[in-house]
Amino acid sequence: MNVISFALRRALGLVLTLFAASFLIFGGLYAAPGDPAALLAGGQRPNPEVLAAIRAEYRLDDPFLLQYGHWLAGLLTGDPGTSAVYRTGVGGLIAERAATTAFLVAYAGALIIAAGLGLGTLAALGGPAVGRTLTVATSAAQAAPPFVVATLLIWLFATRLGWLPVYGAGSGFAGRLEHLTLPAVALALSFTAYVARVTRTAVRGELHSDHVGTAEARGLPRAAVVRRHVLRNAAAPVMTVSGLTLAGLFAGTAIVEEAFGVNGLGSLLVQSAARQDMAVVMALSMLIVTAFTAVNTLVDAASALLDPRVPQVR
Amino acid sequence: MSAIHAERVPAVRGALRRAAARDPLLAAAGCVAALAVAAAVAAPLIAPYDPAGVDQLEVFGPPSAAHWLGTDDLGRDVLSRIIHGARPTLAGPALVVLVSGVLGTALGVAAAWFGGRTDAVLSRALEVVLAFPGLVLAVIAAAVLGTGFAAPVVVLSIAYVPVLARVVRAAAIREAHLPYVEALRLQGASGPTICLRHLLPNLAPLILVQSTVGFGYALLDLAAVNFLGLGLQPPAAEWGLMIADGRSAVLGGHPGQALFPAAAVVAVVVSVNVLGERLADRFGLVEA
Amino acid sequence: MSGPREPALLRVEDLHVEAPGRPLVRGVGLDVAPGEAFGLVGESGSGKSLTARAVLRLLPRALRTRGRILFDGADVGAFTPAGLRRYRSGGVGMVFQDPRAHINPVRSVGDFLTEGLRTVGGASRRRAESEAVGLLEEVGVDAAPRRMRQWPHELSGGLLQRVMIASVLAARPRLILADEPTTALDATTQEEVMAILGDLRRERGAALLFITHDLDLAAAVCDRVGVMYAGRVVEELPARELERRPLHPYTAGLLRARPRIRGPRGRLEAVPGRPLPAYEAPDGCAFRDRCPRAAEVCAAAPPLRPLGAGRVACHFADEGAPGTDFGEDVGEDAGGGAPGEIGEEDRRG
Repeated sequence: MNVISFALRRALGLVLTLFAASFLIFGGLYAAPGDPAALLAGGQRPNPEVLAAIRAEYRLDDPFLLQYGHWLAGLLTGDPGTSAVYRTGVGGLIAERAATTAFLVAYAGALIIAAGLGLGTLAALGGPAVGRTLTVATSAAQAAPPFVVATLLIWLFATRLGWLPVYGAGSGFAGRLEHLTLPAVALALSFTAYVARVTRTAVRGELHSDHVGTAEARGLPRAAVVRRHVLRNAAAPVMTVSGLTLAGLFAGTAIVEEAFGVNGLGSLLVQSAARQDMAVVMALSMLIVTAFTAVNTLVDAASALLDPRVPQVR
Repeated sequence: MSAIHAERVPAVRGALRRAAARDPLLAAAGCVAALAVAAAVAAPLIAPYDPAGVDQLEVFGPPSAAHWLGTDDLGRDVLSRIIHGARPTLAGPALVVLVSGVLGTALGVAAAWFGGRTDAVLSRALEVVLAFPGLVLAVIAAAVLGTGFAAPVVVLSIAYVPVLARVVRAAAIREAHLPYVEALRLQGASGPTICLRHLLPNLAPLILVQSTVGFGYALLDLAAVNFLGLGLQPPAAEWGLMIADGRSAVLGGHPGQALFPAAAVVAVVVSVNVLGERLADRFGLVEA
Repeated sequence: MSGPREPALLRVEDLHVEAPGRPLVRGVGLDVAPGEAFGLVGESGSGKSLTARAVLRLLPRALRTRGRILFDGADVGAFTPAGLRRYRSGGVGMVFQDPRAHINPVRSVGDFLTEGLRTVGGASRRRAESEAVGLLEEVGVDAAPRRMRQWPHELSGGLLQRVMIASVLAARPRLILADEPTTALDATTQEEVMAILGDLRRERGAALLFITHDLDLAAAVCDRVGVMYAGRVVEELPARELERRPLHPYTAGLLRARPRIRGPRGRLEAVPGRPLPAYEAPDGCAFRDRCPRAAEVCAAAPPLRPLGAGRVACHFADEGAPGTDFGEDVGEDAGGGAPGEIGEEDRRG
């Protein structure tokens, strides 16, 4: 079956890309100026013996490729090194925060899909007034980046409305839902607008296509025409774009987590970069790149499977 | 000289008014973009105050005749800071678009022209760069190179290459298969001549539209990096940084310090997007 | 209107179609009897496709229509949405020109064929599928069960058009509209597809409204032929009369512009001038700028009046058969008008 070989080829491409990316990340941070041993030793002026001990412990005197291999092996076995700032394993730091960030991404993703697809379809199928209103609204929303929306929401909810918390991540499902609503909205708004616009364009394009004319000429009920011909055909392009958008969310968490004081992976990445905590930056970069690329590949493959015209043997 | 001027100005004005009546959105976008550029170019001439001029007596002053947009937590004039902030805020994305435009066009045309192995190698390399979201690359750069103006601009210039290179490559392949290119080859024109004198001018509208759209994205990415504290540092005036600086003021009930620069960001990005869309319409390109 | 005939299945009365400021169809009237094949012939822009789409109420909303369309005595324009769906799903079926564009590319052939049977007819999946396979075999598609599982892009244009015909036959319509059904196909396939459409509709007793720019094809397939020019029907004749005694100078010009296989080879004649859409045509007789017989009187629009076995809109039509009368002076300065066929087709007609 060529679907399987198609999937295998995509998976292989994904692995190769990630391998190259890991090399770039390690190489880039290896080339950073400054002595990693000094960073690891902390703020005080370390004596040479301590430095030597650290160098030995972290294999800092090994050749570049050996260090890279060691790091890569660590990543794959779940031991991505030790944080110079927190002085604990990077794996543990990530594990503590992963749930919060995953919740945030899922929440924002759900908002984007539900509102983006819904509003886009409504704008295409509704009357001209609905279409125009939504076009103006989405144009404005699309240009409102997460850090702007976050600031606006913090102002509104901290000083005016007070319905929802503007700081922290909360605990438990209800607490998270409450605390992460504003961050998720801030993260989702511009992406939602984008997905809505793409959906509207795709649905309108199908609505005026010849084959939909055929379906109408056959006297099919309007609902069947819309569902089986308009929405089904618009699904592939809309899915591609929505998927790329979701992949972009992983990077966007850094902004809203910083803005709303959410202790997640995004804010960990930003703070670690500011303090040059290289082991954490490398591991998190690799994690984000992996998530981003994996989602992209999945979406690409899925939309190829949705459209029978895309040749699966290439 | 002055006579000619006197005759011409009303004609120009009339033409502009007619254009504005035909497409008010485009006219508004053009005005905002022109204002922003003018502010960036002539900031010291336009700005009413020193952007770094601290005034302890004027902390959190409301908008007034003296300070149109009020003053911030250190008593600095917000309008002057926005006007001066236009410089790094616009110069950054301009550099990103310029550098990634040159690199992306060169790589895209090269991949299309040579094809085969060159194309395969370039495409794979671009795919690897594409695996890094621009913001993540900028964060890594901050860790490696430290904060400042240059590091995020350099890495975003690289991060923006693949998208443009792919678009240019696809268009160049289409263009290179047109009969006129074949005819030029038969006439003995060299590869570089065809690429520079014939392919590039025909790709120019596409590159222009892509760069306009890219400018908006780069502005948002760079402002985000500055917002995160990984780019320019206080007391520099830059819009993303001003928004971050104003966060505690927002919580204290003084939103102007953060929201006015935020409005500036949104206004400029909306304008750039409108200009990009209209350019694409004008050249008959489908929005990517 | 034209002699004692059984009551019309489809009657189009004084149909006008108008884009803002541009008349496209200007008062078309025609009758199609049950089981009859009627050919509507005309150039690009003559309004023939718009007329067919108006019969199905498939025109874009931006176009305004006037006049009446009666199907089996019921006013199509007054149908409720449910009534319109019933009419489209059971009364009339449409074979479109370009099957590649008019069949949903992301649904399988079987899906396309059974959709109407299952959604509107309420048939079970198994029954709909066996019926669809039978229909595919009838329209000459080999390996029908396998075709059911294929995608539209995997079939040739000729096969796809047979699938389209099968899908129309599946609904057992009383009237089939065929809008240039073979124009997008190559010549040998054209003949086969046309023969299949003609045979199967005759077997089933369905009437046919055949839209084409090919006068010969219309005369071969149809019982009666109407010729359209610039948004009007200028002539209507039984098909066997058409070749021998055309009544309108335009029809006569078209007939002379055909290439011939037999007989001496000469230069091809063409109708002088270029085909005009309705909104560019002159007042009065729309053909008078291109007509060799044009005179003062043509400034007044000639009514479509009965003459012999048909109807014609020409002031000179009873002064002898134009097909034999004039000719030597026509087409010497052949400027426009493609020889043989009447220019290429545009989809909106």
